[in-house]
Amino acid sequence: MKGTISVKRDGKWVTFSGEYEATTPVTVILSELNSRDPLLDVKGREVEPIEWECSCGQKVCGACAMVINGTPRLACSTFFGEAGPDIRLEPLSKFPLIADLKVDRTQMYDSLSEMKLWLDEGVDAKVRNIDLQYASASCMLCGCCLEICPNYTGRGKFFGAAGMNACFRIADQLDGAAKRARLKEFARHGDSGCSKSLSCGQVCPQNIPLAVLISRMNRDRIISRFIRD
Amino acid sequence: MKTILVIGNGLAGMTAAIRAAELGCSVILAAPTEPNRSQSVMASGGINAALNTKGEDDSPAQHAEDTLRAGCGLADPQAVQEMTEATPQIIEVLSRRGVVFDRDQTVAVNPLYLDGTEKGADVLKAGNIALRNFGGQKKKRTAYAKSGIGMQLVTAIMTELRRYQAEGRVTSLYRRKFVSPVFAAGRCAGAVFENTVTGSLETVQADAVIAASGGMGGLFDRHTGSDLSDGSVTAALFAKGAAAANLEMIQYHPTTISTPAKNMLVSEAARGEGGRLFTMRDGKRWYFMEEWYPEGGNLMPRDVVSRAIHKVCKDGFGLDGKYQVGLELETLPKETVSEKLKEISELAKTYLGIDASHEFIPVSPAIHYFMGGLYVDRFHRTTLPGVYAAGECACQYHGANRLGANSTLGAIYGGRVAAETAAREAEGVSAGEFAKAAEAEEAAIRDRLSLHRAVTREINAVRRLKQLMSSSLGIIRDEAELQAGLLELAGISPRDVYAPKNHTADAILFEDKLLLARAILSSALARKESRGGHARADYPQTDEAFCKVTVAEWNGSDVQVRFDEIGRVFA
Repeated sequence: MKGTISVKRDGKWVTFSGEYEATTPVTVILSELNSRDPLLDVKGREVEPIEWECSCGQKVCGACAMVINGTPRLACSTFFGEAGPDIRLEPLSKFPLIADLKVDRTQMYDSLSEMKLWLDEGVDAKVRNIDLQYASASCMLCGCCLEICPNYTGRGKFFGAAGMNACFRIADQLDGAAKRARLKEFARHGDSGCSKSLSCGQVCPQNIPLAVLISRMNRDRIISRFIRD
Repeated sequence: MKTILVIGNGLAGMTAAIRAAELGCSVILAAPTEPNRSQSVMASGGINAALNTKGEDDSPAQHAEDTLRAGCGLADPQAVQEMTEATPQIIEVLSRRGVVFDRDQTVAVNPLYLDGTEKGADVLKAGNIALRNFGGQKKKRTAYAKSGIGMQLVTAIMTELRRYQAEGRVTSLYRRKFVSPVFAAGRCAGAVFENTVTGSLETVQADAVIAASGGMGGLFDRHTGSDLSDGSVTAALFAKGAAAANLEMIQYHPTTISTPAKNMLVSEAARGEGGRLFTMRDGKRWYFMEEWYPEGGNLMPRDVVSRAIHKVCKDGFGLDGKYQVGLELETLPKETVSEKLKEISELAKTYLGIDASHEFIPVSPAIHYFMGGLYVDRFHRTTLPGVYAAGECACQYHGANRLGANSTLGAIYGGRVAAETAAREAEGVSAGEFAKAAEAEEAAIRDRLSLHRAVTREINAVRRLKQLMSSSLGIIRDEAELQAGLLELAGISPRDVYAPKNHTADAILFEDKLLLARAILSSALARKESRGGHARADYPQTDEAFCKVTVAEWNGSDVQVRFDEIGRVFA
């Protein structure tokens, strides 16, 4: 099947043509384009290879998150048959651009540090919410949730679903004052800035039940106001 | 304070960084990208530990015995024994660091009548960490988290690392591609990286360097791992004289699915939970593993299962005439498939459109793991003073064939040991001495780069190398194929390779990869026997004379291969 691939480069579209199977993922298309030497756009002009990131190629690592036809997705699990024949690829816009489709997601990691999302000391396993803890820990920190979020800008104190999700597991594994401190961080950097559009849950490649995690933390926060241990 | 430079931020690298920081060192953790992108997140089945909670009378000694047996005599018994003895405590630490393991049935505690110390009305006591069967082990010994242990381990260890980063005890440098070690006063005193944002060369001084850069999948076609595990750190160190060991020991995982992008792992957990391999014969499902190996059945060690599938397909029994057999999960309880094997079900659905609870999954063997790598002793010293290695880039624990769920363990335990040795032995040079050596190394890198002509783009040169390596180093090898591979390799002109801006060092790393590729082929050629992950059609028997470590070294003009006694300790 013939189609075109347009890549946003320095604010402008660069378009390539190619022929792919319906089952070909966008990652394979990008590799194929970069193997063209020289790489020519549809107008026959020679252009530099495309900068993009890939690691696992199978929806586990989050490296290849980008905006595909207007929606943040992973390139490795977006196929030509569904996204083609004319595919538009843009970098995630909420992170500093490195080049082409490659962005610097360090700020997301810094957010988790600012929220002090770690265990100060060893904890006993808590299994009441074990499935939710598992789901929370499956976050790839790909950034799709932040890209779609109407409230997250990359600046300010609202850290979006990525921060709230990571906060859930830590808070759920802690007790007492340490737990309350993390729930405060959730309120400060998450809940207070969230307008509950819940678009994050719609685009999460791991299908993490973000709305459930957020409501659990809200519940715990209210309980913690009344019950002290 | 001593400074330790760790290269790579997967399980081994992060664990090494944390351990070195615990021991009071200042740590620099340099990697191409963030920890979530490391191959470690792809680990699926679990992590082995003789917790002995299943009433099966398990023990670390039996874990060691199974590891050594699977390793076909090539693993260092003392290193393995020390690892398996440490394992129950490692799992305890991981659990207390918040790893979400699956648990045996949990127990509800009624706070009013049973345990007055508990608060809250819905307290549940965690059951024991659940254990599942895995290949090559008769006892339930594999702790797991559905079928996504890697992600759970990486998330929890990254959480721990975050604390050290916040305290300034670990500094992470991302988008740094390792190009070369820097030597001063006879020791490794740091490294040169290419900053892949700016394209500039940067040097980092350290009192010891730990390589934790993963396997060499990127030298081969259709491997199950990450594209980032390209073997370039191993290659660069090899080119600087680090010895490499057992490079020919390449694990083909028996069950992978073939997709347009790559081969993807279907974890052994599928068979651990009761999945069965079959093909069609006389119109019926033929469970060839169960027929050929009544005792171990579908859970024989990976090398055995891969060779069995290979034989079935070569004998004309591949499903639909293709190089594949069936993995039957549809007869398992629906909940097992959707919950315990969640990630496998999702993979089959996304990439093959198959509902594993109703249809079988077509699978075939593909390259999955490298038992060989940088030659290290049981303290994780390489043969280069000041350089240590852990995780898949190091040759340790697995001998000729790795047991499933020993990779995550080897990475975590090995990272810890490497950090302890490095912290103990770290010995730096003055800033002035380092600066002089670093400047010379940078100049040497620039000189090498200046010799390259823009003829073949690196991505295409690597593609050719991958095809060559995969066709020469199949499940069954022979002298003719290996010689043909070496001949073709010699025909590749390393200096005709160029890489795009900000990645120009990839061109010289390609030179180093060619050397490493030559060492892998030469090692496979030198081992004239069949053992574990190395099966030779022309030497089908195991020969006790080869119960030794294959050691490959670059002496500046040639790759030399020799055989060492097992268990050497480097001074």
